[in-house]
Amino acid sequence: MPFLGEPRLGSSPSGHLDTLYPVIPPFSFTDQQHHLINQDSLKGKIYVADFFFTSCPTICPVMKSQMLRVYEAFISEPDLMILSHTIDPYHDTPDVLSRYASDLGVMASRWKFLTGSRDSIFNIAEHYLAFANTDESAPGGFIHSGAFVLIDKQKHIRGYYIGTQEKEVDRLIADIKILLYEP
Amino acid sequence: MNHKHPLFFLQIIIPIVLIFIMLIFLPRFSSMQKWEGQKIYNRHCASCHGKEGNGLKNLFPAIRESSITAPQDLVCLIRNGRNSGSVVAMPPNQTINSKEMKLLLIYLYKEIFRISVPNLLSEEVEKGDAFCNP
Repeated sequence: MPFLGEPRLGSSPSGHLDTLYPVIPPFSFTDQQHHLINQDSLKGKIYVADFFFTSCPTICPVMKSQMLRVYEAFISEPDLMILSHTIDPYHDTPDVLSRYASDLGVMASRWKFLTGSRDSIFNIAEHYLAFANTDESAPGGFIHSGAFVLIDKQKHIRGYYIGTQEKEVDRLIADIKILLYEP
Repeated sequence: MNHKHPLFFLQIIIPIVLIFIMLIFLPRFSSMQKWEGQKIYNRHCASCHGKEGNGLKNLFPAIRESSITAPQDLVCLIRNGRNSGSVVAMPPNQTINSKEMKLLLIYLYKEIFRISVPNLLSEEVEKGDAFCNP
């Protein structure tokens, strides 16, 4: 499976000059159970990330119904996590996210709904090659990408999928099966 | 002898031709109406309630078996939205015009609720709009 993002030259762990692909930088967010989630919480796991907000009237519900397919396909696979970041942290508190997750019927151990400072969320979105910003002219007040981003155990971006399209999500499910076998 | 007018056959031909024309155009008209209604439904409703009206778990209610079916009630619900205490509220919609509203309601009755379309729908939609947008 490919590595995505703009590569740069740098020294590899063994000290040689190598092509290095971007990794998701360290982060720290709060999940729907008020637990702190950072890169250590995902050690040895691969995950799918996306950006949304609970009052989003347009693409988010479709994204969530598609992400639910991913969740259900890997319900017995503890090495896959899902991280949904809210881009509306003023409204989407951990308690709101907790109700959203329980209405969706998903377990917090597998699907984290994350909130944090708006700047840190908008900033991390760029590292996932997904954009997120405020836009007063957009329904709901935000614009954001509908991408699902697949991250490997070393935090490299390994896949990028349109989260509103069934065929794209089928491709994501197939890719997860492959990526789970990588060390 | 029974003497027939030379153009007697037209009395039979003309109604038959008219019936054929109606048979050809009526389904087209109703499928166009369905297509228009579906476009409006997909744009404004389907992302939460689903293309078939099945909703999504407890987050977005299924509307197939909706208990709200009176035209005026539907117009008010769509215009004003709804906050039933769920974590996600249904947003109000003032952008659909009354012609689109009627097409949407026809689509809801026929394809989603699968019940008969109420009589005098245009008047009911107008009443709903007058009542909900004072």
